[in-house]
Amino acid sequence: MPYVKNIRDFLHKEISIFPLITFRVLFGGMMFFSVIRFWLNGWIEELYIQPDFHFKFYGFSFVQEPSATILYTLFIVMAIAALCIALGLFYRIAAISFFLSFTYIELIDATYYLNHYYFVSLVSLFLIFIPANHNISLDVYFKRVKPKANVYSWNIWGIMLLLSIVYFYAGIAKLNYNWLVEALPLKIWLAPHTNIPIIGSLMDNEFTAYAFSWGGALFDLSIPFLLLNKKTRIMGYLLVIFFHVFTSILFPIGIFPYVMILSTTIFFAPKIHTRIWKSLAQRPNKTILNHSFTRKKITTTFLIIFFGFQILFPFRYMLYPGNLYWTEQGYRFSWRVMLMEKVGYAQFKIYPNKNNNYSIVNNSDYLTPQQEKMMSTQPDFILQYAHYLAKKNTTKDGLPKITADVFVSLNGQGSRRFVKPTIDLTTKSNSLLPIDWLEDY
Amino acid sequence: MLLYIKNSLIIITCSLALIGCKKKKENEQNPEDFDRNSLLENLGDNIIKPRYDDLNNTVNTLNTSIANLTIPVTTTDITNIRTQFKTAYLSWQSCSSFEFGPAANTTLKFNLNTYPSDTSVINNNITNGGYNLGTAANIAAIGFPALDFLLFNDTNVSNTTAFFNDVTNGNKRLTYLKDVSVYIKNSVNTVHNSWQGSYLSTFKNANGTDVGSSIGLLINSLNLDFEKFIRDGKVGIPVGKRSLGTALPEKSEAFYSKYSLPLLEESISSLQNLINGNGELTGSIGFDDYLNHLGAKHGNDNLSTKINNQFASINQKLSVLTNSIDREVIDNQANVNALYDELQKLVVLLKVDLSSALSVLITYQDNDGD
Repeated sequence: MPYVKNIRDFLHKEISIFPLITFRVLFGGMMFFSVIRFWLNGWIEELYIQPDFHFKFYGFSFVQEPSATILYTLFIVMAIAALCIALGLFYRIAAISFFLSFTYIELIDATYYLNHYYFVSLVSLFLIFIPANHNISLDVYFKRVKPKANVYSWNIWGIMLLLSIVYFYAGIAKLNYNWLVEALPLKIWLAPHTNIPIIGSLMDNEFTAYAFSWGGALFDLSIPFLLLNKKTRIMGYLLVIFFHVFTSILFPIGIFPYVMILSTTIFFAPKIHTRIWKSLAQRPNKTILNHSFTRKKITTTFLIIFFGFQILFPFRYMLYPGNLYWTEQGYRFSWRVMLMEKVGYAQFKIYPNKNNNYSIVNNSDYLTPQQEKMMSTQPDFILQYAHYLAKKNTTKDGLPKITADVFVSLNGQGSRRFVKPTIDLTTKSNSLLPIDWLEDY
Repeated sequence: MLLYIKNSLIIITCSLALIGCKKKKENEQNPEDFDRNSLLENLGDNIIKPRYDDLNNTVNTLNTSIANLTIPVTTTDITNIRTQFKTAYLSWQSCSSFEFGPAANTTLKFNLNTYPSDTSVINNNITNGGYNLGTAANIAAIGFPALDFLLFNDTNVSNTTAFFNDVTNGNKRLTYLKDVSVYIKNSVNTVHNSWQGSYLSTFKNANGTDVGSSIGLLINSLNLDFEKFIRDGKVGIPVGKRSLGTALPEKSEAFYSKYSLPLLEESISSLQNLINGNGELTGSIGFDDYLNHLGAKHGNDNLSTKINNQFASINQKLSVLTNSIDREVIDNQANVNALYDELQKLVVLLKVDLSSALSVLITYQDNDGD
């Protein structure tokens, strides 16, 4: 297996630790900042404590919502862990704590899913296994670990690959008829932005939507290569800054543009990072990295499995019939970022006595506006909510029958019926099998 | 090699974009250009402000008449006041879509029109005095619904005069009537003053697309009003949509005065005029024009046409009704159900299609996007 050997050798080449140091400090710092921001915005209360009901990812229905005390404790743990990652203090415990608390919080309610939260979970999982605290860290300062000048190259390549996958797959996802030929949804999204400075008057021009659609797709597909190639790196990075700053002006996308801008600094040449950290570097003595052959083999195997999964998982939608954007089976965890304009409206009818008498549910009695909005367009959430309603409205006659009038507009094509209106949703269960209770797209 | 192709593609795209800029600049006087500022100007100057002016006037007139009442109250007094009450209540219908900014700060909708009124709370307040109308406990004992009860608890005018001329309780009842009226007047005055003052320009200047922009606020507010207060409150709940099809006539608006039908008609026509930008002055730039400018479609139709057709369907179902809603839900429940179905279709068009076309975030929460 010469290829595996080549891969193994490549992954275990020694390179400077300092790109990793930059990444660790920036990532920890940003995560600390975003946890504090989340808290100060009152989102812990609003998103996790106030709602009576939480939606779950398939297979994670066991995740319980913790009490308010535990929740706040988790956020404190997360903030401290992020800070410790940045400072390189009790690094491994911090990385584990951050990964677990962050991921756990994300699993509590699936309607808050964001691709970038998934990205943060993946990165923090990866950080657990790499020695990012072996320089410029309090762990070295307190002599908890030995300082290193070098790490194995997979430590840095892994992060670069994770970032590259985000961009490249976001680009692949854009290679579809609506995006390229119809310039949708950007045609819809850009048009109202005529008030932004300088180029505002272009925003409702159809040409602009096409330029942005094609430009965006090209950007996503090419940016990993532009950043990897020494000759195009500077231009690539300037494009990264321009792209993310620009999209953050146009769309409400929180802190993630900045996460990407700062994270991609890891692509810069090691000598740049080394120069930046020079004055703070802790005895960059020549440490020999002497992992055993077996350990290298195991590492290589794990990396191939981990990244193989990352590369294959987004394509699982191909296993499902129907329109991906309509059914959203295989849509999440696939780097489909801001890809469609989908709005829905869902009304549920409860028939408690199995006759024709029904009551219409007032969704705001059970859901927050954000939950209602996400539920109205995503079949698995519609079903979970219907089951919850059934449980809440069970009478002595047993479970009620529940039907739904759901209307969805995809990419501004007009509202259309989404769920088959006569189907009793209590008879359907969430599964990974193709959904049979939606209207055809 | 591949890299260089990609680089060149980017450069080509960028230059194309720049050429696009140049071209567009030359054509800036394009008559098809739609101006969000003129939309906001028309909505603010020509619709919202005049409607609040009217509400303020009618509420002031009503309050003056009520404040001047003395015992013995005459049938002429009551007849006049009932008419003024109807005028003011109708005027309110055209303002209930504007529950943002000043109205949201004053919780105007709750102060003015929380129904059904709770007559036991009203009677307790009258008997015991010492009430504070601004507390949550009194939310169903104030506003137009409380006046509705006090002025129409008996459709016979002379019985209502007797109600206020009663030897033991008349004085207390009259005081309560006056207090409720003043509370309405003060709430409306506060909101009206803000729109007279700086808020009108705040409204016209917030021409962006974020959650706090004027278009975002107005669309979210009119959607909430139409869904929860018009479709559900005025029609759905009385006709039994929350009660397994059993009609609940006592939940209808203006239950005592039986004005519910004209009030409903007024709220529907106000909403249609708001969407089409039709106000009292000239000029009618509305959301219909904006939708046409954006090329918003519903299937093969223009969305603006589809929305106005849906208003026509609603009006058609409304025209079948003759009595007050509380009567119709008992006598002709099927007709009211048919009206509900048409209202429901408009909810979808407004909440899904209109909001989507305007890129308004239908959410009352701020959060991270993707």
